[in-house]
Amino acid sequence: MNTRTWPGGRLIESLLALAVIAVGVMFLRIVHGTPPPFGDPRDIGSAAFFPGLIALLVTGLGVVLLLSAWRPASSVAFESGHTARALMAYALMVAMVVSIRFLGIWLVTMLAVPLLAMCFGERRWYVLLALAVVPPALVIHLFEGVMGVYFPRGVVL
Amino acid sequence: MIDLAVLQQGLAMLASPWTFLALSAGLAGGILIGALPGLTATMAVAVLAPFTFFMEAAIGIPFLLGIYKGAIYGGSIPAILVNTPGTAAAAATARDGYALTQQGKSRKALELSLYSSVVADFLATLILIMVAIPLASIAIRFGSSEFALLYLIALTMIATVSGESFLKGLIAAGLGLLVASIGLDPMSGYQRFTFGNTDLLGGVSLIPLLIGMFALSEILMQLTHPPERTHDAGQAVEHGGERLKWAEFWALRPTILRSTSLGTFLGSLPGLGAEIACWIAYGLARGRSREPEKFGKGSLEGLAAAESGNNAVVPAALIPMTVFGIPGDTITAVLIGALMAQGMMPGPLLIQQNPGFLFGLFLVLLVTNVLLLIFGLAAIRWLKQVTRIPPTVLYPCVLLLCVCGAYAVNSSTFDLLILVVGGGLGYVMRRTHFPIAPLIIGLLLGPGFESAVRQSLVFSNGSLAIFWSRPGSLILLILLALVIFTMAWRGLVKAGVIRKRSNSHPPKSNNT
Amino acid sequence: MTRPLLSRTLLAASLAAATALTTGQVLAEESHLPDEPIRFVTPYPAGGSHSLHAGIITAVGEEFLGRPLISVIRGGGGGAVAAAEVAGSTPNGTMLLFGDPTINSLRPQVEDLPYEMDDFVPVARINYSPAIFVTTPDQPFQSIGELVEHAEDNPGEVVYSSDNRNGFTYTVFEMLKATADIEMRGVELGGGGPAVTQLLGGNTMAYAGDPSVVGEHLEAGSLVGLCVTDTERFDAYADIPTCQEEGYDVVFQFWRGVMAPADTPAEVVAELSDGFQRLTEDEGFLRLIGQIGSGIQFLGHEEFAEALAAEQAALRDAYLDD
Repeated sequence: MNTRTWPGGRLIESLLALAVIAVGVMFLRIVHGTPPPFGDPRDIGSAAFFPGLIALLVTGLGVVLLLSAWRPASSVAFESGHTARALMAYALMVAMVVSIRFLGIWLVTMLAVPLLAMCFGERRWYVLLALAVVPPALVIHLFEGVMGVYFPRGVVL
Repeated sequence: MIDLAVLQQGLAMLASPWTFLALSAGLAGGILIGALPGLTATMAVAVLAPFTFFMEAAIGIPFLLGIYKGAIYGGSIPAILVNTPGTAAAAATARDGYALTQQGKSRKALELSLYSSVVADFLATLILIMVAIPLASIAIRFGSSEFALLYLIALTMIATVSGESFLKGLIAAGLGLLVASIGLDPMSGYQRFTFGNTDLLGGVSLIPLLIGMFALSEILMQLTHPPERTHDAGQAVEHGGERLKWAEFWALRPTILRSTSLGTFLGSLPGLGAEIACWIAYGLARGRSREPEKFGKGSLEGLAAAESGNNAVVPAALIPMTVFGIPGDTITAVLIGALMAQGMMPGPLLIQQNPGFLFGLFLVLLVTNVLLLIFGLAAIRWLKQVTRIPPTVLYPCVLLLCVCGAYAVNSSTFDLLILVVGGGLGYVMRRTHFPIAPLIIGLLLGPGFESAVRQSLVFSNGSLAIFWSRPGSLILLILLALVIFTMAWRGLVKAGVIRKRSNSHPPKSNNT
Repeated sequence: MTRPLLSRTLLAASLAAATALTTGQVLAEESHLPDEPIRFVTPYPAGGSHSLHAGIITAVGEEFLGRPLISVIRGGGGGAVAAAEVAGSTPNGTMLLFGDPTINSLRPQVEDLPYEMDDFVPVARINYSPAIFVTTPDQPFQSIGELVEHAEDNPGEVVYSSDNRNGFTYTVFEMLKATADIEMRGVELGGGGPAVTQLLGGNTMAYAGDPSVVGEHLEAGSLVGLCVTDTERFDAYADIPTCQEEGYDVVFQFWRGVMAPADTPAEVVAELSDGFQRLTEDEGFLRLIGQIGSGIQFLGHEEFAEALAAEQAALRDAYLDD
C-alpha cells in the first residue's frame, strides 16, 4: 500500500485535539449556561448530568491528546494519498444532498452517479451514460415501487 | 406438554405449500431489503404488515417472519463486500468481514457469516422452543437498574474495539455519546443541543449517520488510496478467494456457541436488540481469543462472533412476545400487530388457546434456517462476483444506494445532510487513525444507558443503592467489576512488556 | 405513477380473495385538491398503533379521496418533528398529519415546540380509545379507590409505569393525581411495551394504557382493570367502571385524527373530510380496522373542530391553572 507519511503529523494531531476540545467546551458551555437549560448538571437524575459529564470527559481527553502529540517520544504518522480527489468527491456529495430539494431525486442521481465514476477515473462516454440511466432508474423504482418511499421531486423531473 | 394433536396441527401448517411459498418469498425479499443500506427489517415488516391482514394466518405470519430473518442476515452482505452495514446490527460484522474482503477472501467471509447466522439462529430457536417460559420469567424481572449495568458492560467493549490508541477510542466514544444526547429528552421534555433546529428534535438519525460513516467514508478512502492493480493477485480476488474449510469452521464452535448463548440471553430481555448483542459478543470473543490482535484485521473469530451474536437475537426476541405478549423490539411490536389482525393475541392466551399454531410457527422458524442456508449459498455464488465489478461502477452505485437508503429511513432530506456529515467525519477519522467503532457504540448505547440510569433513580427515589441492593444488579455489578479488572490487568501486562516481545502472550486469565 | 407497485398487486389480489369492497364513489369532477398524491404523515416510528392505522388508511384511501395516498413515516421528538414539518408545508391538502391529543392539544401548550396548536386545522377524527388504569393482582390495591387510599397513606411510594413526558399515560396519571390530590412517582419508560413489562415484572405498581396494549393481560388475569378514562364503559371490558363512576373526574380520549396545515382552504378541508367519512363507512375498511382490534368513531371537520377546541381548553385548565 501507499505508506509514504505526511510531514507535520504533530500539527495535524494538535489540530484534531483542538477540535475535540472545542466540541467539548461548546457542549459544556451549553449545559452550564445560566439559567441551566436542562436542569442542574450536578444532579445525577437530571437531563443535564450525562451530557455534562461526557462533555467534561471529552474536553479532558482532548487536552491529553494535545499534550501527548507534543511528547518528545511520540511518533505521529499519517499516510499521504490522493486527498484532493477525495475532497472533490466529497464536494460532489455535499452538492448532491443540498440540491436534492430543488432538483429532485432523478436529476441529482443521474448527475451524481456518472460524476463520481469520473472521479474514479472512468472516461468512456457510453459507460457514463449507462451509469446515468440504469442504476438510478432501477434503484428509484425499487424503493418507490416496493417500499413505498416517495422521493422528493424537483422542478424538472 | 406437547400432545399429539398439537404436533399434528403444527406439522400440517408446515406441510402447506402456500406456507412454504410465503416463507420463501419473504426470506428472499428480506435478504434483498436487508442488503440495501437504510432499508431495515423493522421498516420492511412495518410496511408489508398491513397486507398480511388480507391473508390467512398460516401464510401471512410466515411471510413476515421470513422477511424479518432474511433482512437481519442480509445486512451482513454489504457490510462484508463494501464496508456498508445494511443495518445497525451489522456494524460489528463490517470490521472483520470487510477486512477479509480486502484480503481477497470475500467468499470465505460470506460463507462464514451465513453459517454462523444459521447455526446461531437454529440453536436460539431450539432454546426458544424448550426454555422460553423459564427464560422469560427471569427476563421480565429485569428492571432499569439491571439494564443500566448491562449497558455499562456493553460500553466497556469500547476498549476492545479501540485499535491502536485507547485514548482516541475513548474520544470517539465520548463524541458518540454527545451526539446521542442531541434531541428531545423523553423524560424531562427538554430539547437538548438542538440549536433551534426542528429536525434535530428527533435526535441525529442513527442509520443515515452510520451509513455515512462507513460507506461514504469508504468511497472517499478508495479515492485516496486506490488499490494497486496487480495482475497476478487478481486471479484469486476475482473468484472471491477460496471457500471456508470445514476445519476452520469447526475450530470456531466455542466462539459461536458463546455468542449464541449471549445473543439469546440479551434478545430475551425486552428492549435490547441485535445492535447491542453483536458488540458484546464481539468484545467477549476478543477477550477469550488466542489471537486478539487479529480482530479488526480479518479475524474469522470476530466475524463469527458478531454474526452469531446478532442473529441469535431474532428468535430470542420472540420469547417475551410469545410468553407475555410484550414486544421484545420494534419488529416484534409490528408482528404482534399482525398477529392481532389475525385474531390471535400473542401471549399466555395464545399458548393456551392455539398451541398448534404456535408450535407450527416454531417449526416454521426452524425450517426458515434450512431455507436461509439454501438461499444464502445460492446468493453467494453471485455475490462473490461483486468484487469483480470495477470500482468506477461499484462505488457510484454504492453512493446511490446510500442516498436512497438514508432518505428512506425517515423520508427526510435533513437525514441526507447527516449522511454527508457522517461521511466527512468518518473520512477524517479514518485518515487520522481514530477508530469508528467506539463512536458507533457510544451512539447506539448512550440513550439507553442514560435513560436506564435515570429511570433507576426514579425507582429508588434518588438513591444509588439500587445498583447493588437488588440481587440481579449485584450479580451484574460484580460481573462489570470483573470485566474491568480483566481488561485493566491485560492492559497492564501488555504495557509492561516491550512491544516487540508481545508476541509471546501472557497465559489466559481464568476469570471472564 | 407513484403508487407502490407491490402494494397495488398485493392489495388487488387480497381484495379479490376477500369480500369485494363496495365501490366507493369517485370524487365529483370539481375537486379542489391539486392533482398530486396526498402525503399522509405518521408522526411516530414504524411499529405502533398509529402506523398500523395509517397503513390501512393509505392502502384503501385512494378510492375515496380521489388521490393516491402515500404513507410517510416520520418519527422523532415524540411526534414534534413530523408536526412541525406538516405545519410548514404548502397548505393545499397534499400533506396531512395523523395527529393525536398529545401532539395537537397538549404539548404545544406546555412545551416550547417549533409549532403551535393553531398551525393545524382539524379535518376528520377517525377514532379514539380511552386509557384503562391497571395494576397486577398482587398489589395491595385492587380498585381505583384503594389505589388512591394507598397513595394517600404512603405519599410518593406508589411507583407507576409511564410512557413519555406529556404522553398519553403521563397525562392521565397527572389528571388522576390532580383530581385525587395524591402523590405518586411515574417512571418514563418510553412506550407501552416496556411500561407493561416493568409492571408485570413487579418493578412498578400501576399503569394506564390503550385497550390494545393491556387488553390481553386483562383477559388472562395477569392485570386487573381499575377504571376507564371515558364517559362510558368500554364494550369489551364492561366490568371495569369508568373513573367518573368511581368518583374521579378523569376523562381522556386518545383520538387519532387527520390534521391539515392551518391555511388550507375551507373547501379542501370539507372535501377531504367527506372523503374520509366515505372511507370510514366502507365495509372492507371497517373489517380491516376491526381486525386490528380498533373501531371507528368518526367526526367530520366541524364536529371535530368543536371537540378539539373543548379538549384544548380542558387541558389548558388542568395543566396551567394548578
